[in-house]
Amino acid sequence: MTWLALLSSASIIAIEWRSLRTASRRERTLYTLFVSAALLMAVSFDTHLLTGVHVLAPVDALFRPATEWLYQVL
Amino acid sequence: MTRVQISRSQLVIAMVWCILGTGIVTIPSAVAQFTVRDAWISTMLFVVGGGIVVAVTLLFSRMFPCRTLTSALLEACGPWIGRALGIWFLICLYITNCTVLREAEVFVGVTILPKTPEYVMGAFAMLAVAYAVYLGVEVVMRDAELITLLVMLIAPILFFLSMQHMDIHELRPVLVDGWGPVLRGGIVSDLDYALELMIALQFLMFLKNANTAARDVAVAAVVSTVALTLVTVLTIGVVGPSTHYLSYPVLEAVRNIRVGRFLERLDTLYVIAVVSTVFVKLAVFHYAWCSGLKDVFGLSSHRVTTLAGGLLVWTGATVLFRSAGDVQQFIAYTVPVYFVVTFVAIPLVAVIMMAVKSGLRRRNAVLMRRG
Repeated sequence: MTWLALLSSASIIAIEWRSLRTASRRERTLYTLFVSAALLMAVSFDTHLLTGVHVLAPVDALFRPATEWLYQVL
Repeated sequence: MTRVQISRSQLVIAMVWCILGTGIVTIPSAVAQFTVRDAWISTMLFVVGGGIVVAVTLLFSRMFPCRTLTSALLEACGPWIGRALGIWFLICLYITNCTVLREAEVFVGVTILPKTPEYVMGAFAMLAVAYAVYLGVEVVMRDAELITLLVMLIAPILFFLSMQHMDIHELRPVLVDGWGPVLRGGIVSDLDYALELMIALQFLMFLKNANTAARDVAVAAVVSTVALTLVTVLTIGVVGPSTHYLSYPVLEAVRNIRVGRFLERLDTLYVIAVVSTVFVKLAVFHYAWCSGLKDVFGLSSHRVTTLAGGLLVWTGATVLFRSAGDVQQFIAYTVPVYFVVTFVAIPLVAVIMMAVKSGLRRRNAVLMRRG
Protein backbone atom coordinates (compact mmCIF):
# COMPACT_ATOMS: atom_id res chain seq x y z
CA MET A 1 0.00 0.00 0.00
CA THR A 2 2.90 2.35 0.76
CA TRP A 3 4.30 2.01 -2.76
CA LEU A 4 0.89 2.60 -4.30
CA ALA A 5 0.38 5.64 -2.05
CA LEU A 6 3.83 7.01 -2.96
CA LEU A 7 3.15 6.51 -6.67
CA SER A 8 -0.29 8.15 -6.39
CA SER A 9 1.10 11.10 -4.40
CA ALA A 10 3.89 11.66 -6.93
CA SER A 11 1.38 11.48 -9.80
CA ILE A 12 -1.01 13.90 -8.12
CA ILE A 13 1.77 16.40 -7.41
CA ALA A 14 3.03 16.10 -11.00
CA ILE A 15 -0.49 16.66 -12.39
CA GLU A 16 -1.13 19.68 -10.19
CA TRP A 17 2.37 21.13 -10.13
CA ARG A 18 1.44 24.17 -12.22
CA SER A 19 -1.68 25.04 -10.20
CA LEU A 20 0.18 24.42 -6.92
CA ARG A 21 2.78 27.02 -7.87
CA THR A 22 0.10 29.69 -8.22
CA ALA A 23 -1.97 28.47 -5.24
CA SER A 24 -2.31 30.45 -2.02
CA ARG A 25 -0.41 29.45 1.14
CA ARG A 26 -3.58 28.09 2.74
CA GLU A 27 -4.30 25.88 -0.26
CA ARG A 28 -0.75 24.57 -0.33
CA THR A 29 -0.86 23.84 3.42
CA LEU A 30 -4.13 21.89 3.12
CA TYR A 31 -2.80 20.02 0.11
CA THR A 32 0.43 19.06 1.91
CA LEU A 33 -1.55 18.04 4.99
CA PHE A 34 -3.80 15.70 2.98
CA VAL A 35 -0.97 14.07 1.03
CA SER A 36 1.17 13.65 4.19
CA ALA A 37 -1.75 12.20 6.17
CA ALA A 38 -2.50 9.75 3.35
CA LEU A 39 1.14 8.64 3.17
CA LEU A 40 1.33 8.33 6.96
CA MET A 41 -1.79 6.15 7.02
CA ALA A 42 -0.45 3.94 4.22
CA VAL A 43 2.87 3.46 6.03
CA SER A 44 1.13 2.80 9.35
CA PHE A 45 -1.05 0.18 7.65
CA ASP A 46 1.92 -1.65 6.14
CA THR A 47 4.02 -1.49 9.30
CA HIS A 48 1.05 -2.47 11.53
CA LEU A 49 1.68 0.69 13.54
CA LEU A 50 -2.01 1.24 14.23
CA THR A 51 -3.02 -2.40 14.63
CA GLY A 52 -4.05 -2.02 18.27
CA VAL A 53 -5.42 1.49 17.81
CA HIS A 54 -9.08 2.05 17.04
CA VAL A 55 -8.94 5.33 15.12
CA LEU A 56 -12.70 5.92 15.34
CA ALA A 57 -12.76 5.38 19.11
CA PRO A 58 -13.66 9.04 19.90
CA VAL A 59 -16.68 8.90 17.54
CA ASP A 60 -17.71 5.52 18.98
CA ALA A 61 -17.34 6.83 22.54
CA LEU A 62 -19.58 9.79 21.75
CA PHE A 63 -22.38 8.10 19.86
CA ARG A 64 -22.40 4.36 20.54
CA PRO A 65 -23.92 4.58 24.06
CA ALA A 66 -26.78 6.75 22.76
CA THR A 67 -27.46 4.40 19.84
CA GLU A 68 -27.40 1.34 22.10
CA TRP A 69 -29.82 3.10 24.43
CA LEU A 70 -32.10 3.74 21.43
CA TYR A 71 -32.05 0.03 20.56
CA GLN A 72 -32.88 -0.84 24.18
CA VAL A 73 -35.77 1.63 24.34
CA LEU A 74 -37.30 0.17 21.19
CA MET B 1 -18.86 32.99 -16.78
CA THR B 2 -22.11 31.00 -16.77
CA ARG B 3 -23.28 29.45 -13.54
CA VAL B 4 -23.20 25.64 -13.43
CA GLN B 5 -26.68 24.21 -13.04
CA ILE B 6 -28.09 20.77 -12.47
CA SER B 7 -31.64 19.77 -13.34
CA ARG B 8 -34.24 18.54 -10.87
CA SER B 9 -34.24 15.08 -12.39
CA GLN B 10 -30.45 14.89 -12.05
CA LEU B 11 -30.73 15.74 -8.35
CA VAL B 12 -33.43 13.08 -7.83
CA ILE B 13 -31.40 10.44 -9.67
CA ALA B 14 -28.22 11.27 -7.75
CA MET B 15 -30.06 11.10 -4.42
CA VAL B 16 -31.72 7.78 -5.28
CA TRP B 17 -28.36 6.21 -6.15
CA CYS B 18 -26.83 7.71 -3.02
CA ILE B 19 -29.30 5.61 -1.04
CA LEU B 20 -29.56 2.49 -3.15
CA GLY B 21 -25.84 2.31 -3.98
CA THR B 22 -24.92 0.72 -0.67
CA GLY B 23 -28.43 0.47 0.81
CA ILE B 24 -29.44 -2.38 -1.47
CA VAL B 25 -26.39 -4.33 -0.26
CA THR B 26 -26.50 -3.49 3.44
CA ILE B 27 -30.10 -2.78 4.48
CA PRO B 28 -31.65 -6.27 4.00
CA SER B 29 -28.88 -7.94 6.03
CA ALA B 30 -28.86 -5.20 8.70
CA VAL B 31 -32.64 -5.42 9.16
CA ALA B 32 -32.54 -9.23 9.18
CA GLN B 33 -30.41 -9.08 12.36
CA PHE B 34 -33.61 -8.03 14.17
CA THR B 35 -36.46 -9.47 12.13
CA VAL B 36 -36.66 -11.60 8.99
CA ARG B 37 -40.37 -12.08 8.28
CA ASP B 38 -41.23 -8.43 8.99
CA ALA B 39 -38.07 -6.96 7.45
CA TRP B 40 -40.14 -5.38 4.68
CA ILE B 41 -42.07 -3.31 7.27
CA SER B 42 -38.76 -2.10 8.76
CA THR B 43 -37.59 -1.12 5.29
CA MET B 44 -40.83 0.78 4.66
CA LEU B 45 -40.00 2.92 7.69
CA PHE B 46 -37.32 4.49 5.49
CA VAL B 47 -40.02 6.96 4.51
CA VAL B 48 -40.06 8.33 8.10
CA GLY B 49 -36.38 9.27 7.89
CA GLY B 50 -37.07 10.66 4.41
CA GLY B 51 -39.85 12.81 5.89
CA ILE B 52 -37.43 14.30 8.45
CA VAL B 53 -34.97 15.13 5.65
CA VAL B 54 -37.73 16.75 3.57
CA ALA B 55 -38.80 18.94 6.52
CA VAL B 56 -35.22 20.10 7.21
CA THR B 57 -34.57 20.69 3.49
CA LEU B 58 -37.75 22.78 3.24
CA LEU B 59 -36.72 24.99 6.19
CA PHE B 60 -33.14 25.26 4.97
CA SER B 61 -33.96 26.07 1.33
CA ARG B 62 -36.37 28.83 2.40
CA MET B 63 -33.81 30.37 4.73
CA PHE B 64 -30.76 29.87 2.48
CA PRO B 65 -31.73 29.70 -1.20
CA CYS B 66 -28.65 29.23 -3.39
CA ARG B 67 -26.34 28.32 -0.50
CA THR B 68 -24.49 25.12 0.38
CA LEU B 69 -24.81 23.89 3.96
CA THR B 70 -21.20 24.75 4.74
CA SER B 71 -21.44 28.31 3.43
CA ALA B 72 -24.79 28.75 5.21
CA LEU B 73 -23.13 27.71 8.50
CA LEU B 74 -20.48 30.41 8.05
CA GLU B 75 -23.14 33.00 7.24
CA ALA B 76 -25.46 32.05 10.11
CA CYS B 77 -23.03 31.24 12.91
CA GLY B 78 -20.09 33.50 12.07
CA PRO B 79 -16.54 32.55 11.13
CA TRP B 80 -15.55 30.76 14.37
CA ILE B 81 -18.62 28.72 15.37
CA GLY B 82 -19.64 28.33 11.73
CA ARG B 83 -16.22 27.01 10.79
CA ALA B 84 -16.18 24.64 13.79
CA LEU B 85 -19.60 23.23 12.81
CA GLY B 86 -18.48 23.07 9.19
CA ILE B 87 -15.37 21.07 10.15
CA TRP B 88 -17.53 18.69 12.21
CA PHE B 89 -19.79 18.20 9.15
CA LEU B 90 -16.77 17.67 6.89
CA ILE B 91 -15.25 15.07 9.24
CA CYS B 92 -18.58 13.20 9.17
CA LEU B 93 -18.62 13.36 5.36
CA TYR B 94 -15.05 12.05 5.26
CA ILE B 95 -15.89 9.11 7.54
CA THR B 96 -19.01 8.40 5.46
CA ASN B 97 -16.94 8.38 2.27
CA CYS B 98 -14.42 6.00 3.88
CA THR B 99 -17.28 3.74 5.03
CA VAL B 100 -18.83 3.60 1.55
CA LEU B 101 -15.48 2.89 -0.11
CA ARG B 102 -14.66 0.15 2.43
CA GLU B 103 -18.10 -1.44 1.94
CA ALA B 104 -17.51 -1.43 -1.83
CA GLU B 105 -14.01 -2.91 -1.47
CA VAL B 106 -15.26 -5.74 0.74
CA PHE B 107 -18.28 -6.40 -1.50
CA VAL B 108 -16.23 -6.64 -4.69
CA GLY B 109 -13.57 -8.69 -2.88
CA VAL B 110 -16.10 -11.22 -1.62
CA THR B 111 -18.14 -11.47 -4.81
CA ILE B 112 -15.87 -11.28 -7.84
CA LEU B 113 -12.21 -10.52 -7.02
CA PRO B 114 -11.27 -12.64 -3.97
CA LYS B 115 -7.54 -12.75 -4.81
CA THR B 116 -7.06 -9.01 -5.41
CA PRO B 117 -5.98 -6.95 -2.36
CA GLU B 118 -8.91 -4.81 -1.26
CA TYR B 119 -6.86 -1.61 -1.16
CA VAL B 120 -5.97 -2.06 -4.86
CA MET B 121 -9.67 -2.17 -5.76
CA GLY B 122 -10.22 0.89 -3.57
CA ALA B 123 -7.41 2.73 -5.35
CA PHE B 124 -8.94 2.14 -8.78
CA ALA B 125 -12.40 3.12 -7.53
CA MET B 126 -11.15 6.36 -5.98
CA LEU B 127 -9.14 7.16 -9.12
CA ALA B 128 -12.35 7.11 -11.19
CA VAL B 129 -14.30 9.02 -8.53
CA ALA B 130 -11.63 11.72 -8.10
CA TYR B 131 -11.40 12.18 -11.88
CA ALA B 132 -15.20 12.62 -12.21
CA VAL B 133 -15.28 15.07 -9.28
CA TYR B 134 -12.28 16.96 -10.70
CA LEU B 135 -14.25 17.55 -13.91
CA GLY B 136 -17.14 19.09 -11.95
CA VAL B 137 -20.68 18.59 -10.73
CA GLU B 138 -22.15 18.39 -14.25
CA VAL B 139 -19.99 15.38 -15.08
CA VAL B 140 -20.96 13.63 -11.84
CA MET B 141 -24.66 14.17 -12.52
CA ARG B 142 -24.40 13.07 -16.18
CA ASP B 143 -22.58 9.94 -15.03
CA ALA B 144 -25.51 9.29 -12.69
CA GLU B 145 -27.97 9.65 -15.61
CA LEU B 146 -25.93 7.30 -17.79
CA ILE B 147 -25.64 4.71 -15.03
CA THR B 148 -29.41 4.93 -14.48
CA LEU B 149 -29.95 3.65 -18.03
CA LEU B 150 -27.61 0.72 -17.37
CA VAL B 151 -29.25 -0.17 -14.06
CA MET B 152 -32.76 0.20 -15.48
CA LEU B 153 -31.77 -2.40 -18.06
CA ILE B 154 -30.35 -4.88 -15.54
CA ALA B 155 -32.59 -4.44 -12.48
CA PRO B 156 -36.00 -5.44 -13.96
CA ILE B 157 -34.52 -8.56 -15.60
CA LEU B 158 -32.95 -9.74 -12.33
CA PHE B 159 -36.06 -8.82 -10.33
CA PHE B 160 -38.53 -10.76 -12.49
CA LEU B 161 -36.24 -13.75 -12.92
CA SER B 162 -35.73 -13.95 -9.13
CA MET B 163 -39.48 -13.87 -8.58
CA GLN B 164 -39.85 -17.43 -9.94
CA HIS B 165 -38.09 -18.73 -6.77
CA MET B 166 -40.08 -16.58 -4.36
CA ASP B 167 -42.23 -18.13 -1.68
CA ILE B 168 -44.69 -15.62 -0.21
CA HIS B 169 -45.19 -17.83 2.87
CA GLU B 170 -41.73 -16.80 4.10
CA LEU B 171 -43.28 -13.40 4.88
CA ARG B 172 -46.03 -14.80 7.09
CA PRO B 173 -47.25 -14.50 9.82
CA VAL B 174 -47.01 -10.72 9.92
CA LEU B 175 -45.92 -8.96 13.15
CA VAL B 176 -45.94 -12.18 15.17
CA ASP B 177 -43.14 -10.80 17.42
CA GLY B 178 -44.76 -7.38 17.74
CA TRP B 179 -43.40 -3.97 16.70
CA GLY B 180 -40.19 -4.06 18.81
CA PRO B 181 -37.94 -5.97 16.35
CA VAL B 182 -39.49 -4.08 13.42
CA LEU B 183 -38.64 -0.69 14.93
CA ARG B 184 -35.13 -1.80 15.94
CA GLY B 185 -34.58 -3.09 12.41
CA GLY B 186 -35.82 0.22 11.02
CA ILE B 187 -33.13 2.26 12.81
CA VAL B 188 -30.45 1.51 10.21
CA SER B 189 -32.64 2.35 7.23
CA ASP B 190 -34.29 5.30 8.97
CA LEU B 191 -31.36 7.04 10.61
CA ASP B 192 -28.37 5.84 8.60
CA TYR B 193 -29.47 5.71 5.00
CA ALA B 194 -32.45 8.08 4.90
CA LEU B 195 -30.47 10.87 6.56
CA GLU B 196 -27.81 10.58 3.87
CA LEU B 197 -30.35 12.37 1.63
CA MET B 198 -29.36 15.49 3.52
CA ILE B 199 -26.33 15.67 1.21
CA ALA B 200 -28.74 17.44 -1.18
CA LEU B 201 -28.16 20.60 0.89
CA GLN B 202 -24.62 20.79 -0.55
CA PHE B 203 -26.11 20.93 -4.07
CA LEU B 204 -28.83 23.59 -3.55
CA MET B 205 -26.73 26.32 -5.15
CA PHE B 206 -26.63 24.40 -8.43
CA LEU B 207 -30.42 24.21 -8.73
CA LYS B 208 -32.29 26.70 -10.88
CA ASN B 209 -34.92 27.07 -8.16
CA ALA B 210 -33.92 25.98 -4.64
CA ASN B 211 -37.57 25.99 -3.51
CA THR B 212 -38.15 22.74 -5.41
CA ALA B 213 -35.35 20.93 -3.52
CA ALA B 214 -37.63 19.61 -0.76
CA ARG B 215 -40.04 18.18 -3.36
CA ASP B 216 -37.15 16.52 -5.20
CA VAL B 217 -35.80 15.00 -2.00
CA ALA B 218 -39.33 13.72 -1.22
CA VAL B 219 -39.50 12.04 -4.65
CA ALA B 220 -36.07 10.46 -4.07
CA ALA B 221 -37.17 9.23 -0.62
CA VAL B 222 -40.38 7.65 -1.99
CA VAL B 223 -38.57 5.99 -4.92
CA SER B 224 -35.89 4.64 -2.57
CA THR B 225 -38.51 3.34 -0.10
CA VAL B 226 -40.39 1.49 -2.84
CA ALA B 227 -37.20 0.02 -4.35
CA LEU B 228 -35.79 -1.07 -0.96
CA THR B 229 -39.11 -2.60 0.12
CA LEU B 230 -39.47 -4.56 -3.14
CA VAL B 231 -35.90 -5.85 -2.89
CA THR B 232 -36.37 -6.84 0.76
CA VAL B 233 -39.66 -8.66 0.03
CA LEU B 234 -38.01 -10.51 -2.84
CA THR B 235 -34.92 -11.41 -0.81
CA ILE B 236 -36.87 -12.73 2.18
CA GLY B 237 -39.21 -14.59 -0.17
CA VAL B 238 -36.32 -16.29 -1.98
CA VAL B 239 -33.70 -16.76 0.75
CA GLY B 240 -36.05 -17.18 3.72
CA PRO B 241 -34.77 -17.40 7.34
CA SER B 242 -31.16 -17.83 6.10
CA THR B 243 -31.18 -14.07 5.43
CA HIS B 244 -30.31 -13.63 9.11
CA TYR B 245 -26.92 -15.34 8.62
CA LEU B 246 -25.88 -13.87 5.26
CA SER B 247 -23.82 -10.73 4.67
CA TYR B 248 -25.20 -10.27 1.15
CA PRO B 249 -28.67 -11.85 1.01
CA VAL B 250 -29.70 -10.02 -2.18
CA LEU B 251 -26.72 -11.58 -3.92
CA GLU B 252 -27.95 -15.03 -2.83
CA ALA B 253 -31.41 -14.28 -4.21
CA VAL B 254 -29.87 -13.33 -7.56
CA ARG B 255 -27.56 -16.38 -7.53
CA ASN B 256 -30.64 -18.62 -7.43
CA ILE B 257 -31.64 -17.50 -10.92
CA ARG B 258 -31.37 -20.23 -13.50
CA VAL B 259 -32.95 -20.09 -16.93
CA GLY B 260 -33.03 -23.56 -18.49
CA ARG B 261 -29.71 -25.36 -18.09
CA PHE B 262 -27.45 -22.84 -19.66
CA LEU B 263 -28.13 -19.36 -18.21
CA GLU B 264 -26.93 -18.87 -14.65
CA ARG B 265 -24.49 -16.84 -12.51
CA LEU B 266 -26.39 -13.63 -13.26
CA ASP B 267 -24.98 -12.26 -10.00
CA THR B 268 -22.21 -10.71 -12.13
CA LEU B 269 -24.84 -8.35 -13.56
CA TYR B 270 -25.96 -7.49 -10.02
CA VAL B 271 -22.37 -6.73 -8.99
CA ILE B 272 -21.94 -4.49 -12.06
CA ALA B 273 -25.09 -2.57 -11.11
CA VAL B 274 -24.01 -2.20 -7.46
CA VAL B 275 -20.48 -1.06 -8.35
CA SER B 276 -21.87 1.50 -10.83
CA THR B 277 -24.28 2.98 -8.29
CA VAL B 278 -21.64 2.99 -5.54
CA PHE B 279 -19.48 5.00 -7.94
CA VAL B 280 -22.25 7.62 -8.16
CA LYS B 281 -22.62 7.68 -4.38
CA LEU B 282 -18.88 8.09 -3.81
CA ALA B 283 -18.69 10.82 -6.45
CA VAL B 284 -21.63 12.77 -4.97
CA PHE B 285 -20.24 12.54 -1.43
CA HIS B 286 -16.69 13.35 -2.54
CA TYR B 287 -17.92 16.39 -4.47
CA ALA B 288 -19.94 17.53 -1.43
CA TRP B 289 -16.86 17.08 0.76
CA CYS B 290 -14.54 18.98 -1.59
CA SER B 291 -17.04 21.84 -2.05
CA GLY B 292 -17.46 21.96 1.74
CA LEU B 293 -13.68 22.24 2.17
CA LYS B 294 -13.71 25.06 -0.38
CA ASP B 295 -16.32 26.98 1.65
CA VAL B 296 -14.86 26.35 5.10
CA PHE B 297 -11.20 27.02 4.24
CA GLY B 298 -11.85 29.70 1.61
CA LEU B 299 -10.20 27.82 -1.27
CA SER B 300 -10.33 29.06 -4.86
CA SER B 301 -11.93 25.86 -6.22
CA HIS B 302 -13.14 22.44 -5.15
CA ARG B 303 -10.42 21.01 -7.42
CA VAL B 304 -7.68 22.02 -4.98
CA THR B 305 -8.54 19.11 -2.67
CA THR B 306 -10.16 16.68 -5.14
CA LEU B 307 -7.15 14.50 -5.94
CA ALA B 308 -5.34 14.80 -2.59
CA GLY B 309 -8.67 14.28 -0.80
CA GLY B 310 -9.34 11.19 -2.90
CA LEU B 311 -5.98 9.81 -1.77
CA LEU B 312 -6.89 10.55 1.85
CA VAL B 313 -10.27 8.78 1.52
CA TRP B 314 -8.58 5.75 -0.05
CA THR B 315 -6.05 5.30 2.75
CA GLY B 316 -8.63 6.23 5.41
CA ALA B 317 -11.03 3.51 4.26
CA THR B 318 -8.44 0.82 4.98
CA VAL B 319 -7.03 2.29 8.17
CA LEU B 320 -10.34 3.28 9.82
CA PHE B 321 -12.03 -0.07 9.10
CA ARG B 322 -9.83 -3.13 9.33
CA SER B 323 -12.55 -5.63 8.40
CA ALA B 324 -16.10 -5.96 7.11
CA GLY B 325 -17.19 -6.56 10.72
CA ASP B 326 -15.82 -3.15 11.76
CA VAL B 327 -17.90 -1.46 9.06
CA GLN B 328 -21.10 -3.32 10.02
CA GLN B 329 -20.64 -2.55 13.73
CA PHE B 330 -20.00 1.12 12.97
CA ILE B 331 -23.07 1.37 10.71
CA ALA B 332 -25.39 -0.37 13.17
CA TYR B 333 -24.19 0.99 16.52
CA THR B 334 -22.55 4.39 15.96
CA VAL B 335 -23.84 5.98 12.77
CA PRO B 336 -27.57 6.39 13.69
CA VAL B 337 -27.08 9.00 16.43
CA TYR B 338 -23.95 10.42 14.74
CA PHE B 339 -26.03 11.18 11.63
CA VAL B 340 -28.92 12.64 13.63
CA VAL B 341 -26.51 15.08 15.28
CA THR B 342 -24.62 15.91 12.08
CA PHE B 343 -27.24 15.81 9.34
CA VAL B 344 -30.30 17.01 11.26
CA ALA B 345 -29.12 19.10 14.22
CA ILE B 346 -26.39 21.09 12.40
CA PRO B 347 -28.63 22.31 9.49
CA LEU B 348 -31.32 23.15 12.06
CA VAL B 349 -28.78 25.15 14.10
CA ALA B 350 -27.96 27.13 10.93
CA VAL B 351 -31.66 27.78 10.27
CA ILE B 352 -32.39 28.83 13.87
CA MET B 353 -29.33 31.09 14.09
CA MET B 354 -30.27 32.78 10.82
CA ALA B 355 -33.87 33.24 11.98
CA VAL B 356 -32.66 34.82 15.24
CA LYS B 357 -30.23 37.06 13.32
CA SER B 358 -32.90 38.29 10.90
CA GLY B 359 -35.32 38.81 13.81
CA LEU B 360 -32.77 40.97 15.62
CA ARG B 361 -31.99 42.87 12.43
CA ARG B 362 -35.70 43.60 11.89
CA ARG B 363 -36.09 44.71 15.53
CA ASN B 364 -33.09 47.04 15.26
CA ALA B 365 -34.47 48.52 12.03
CA VAL B 366 -37.83 49.23 13.74
CA LEU B 367 -36.07 50.82 16.74
CA MET B 368 -33.93 52.97 14.43
CA ARG B 369 -37.03 54.16 12.57
CA ARG B 370 -38.70 55.12 15.85
CA GLY B 371 -35.59 57.11 16.67
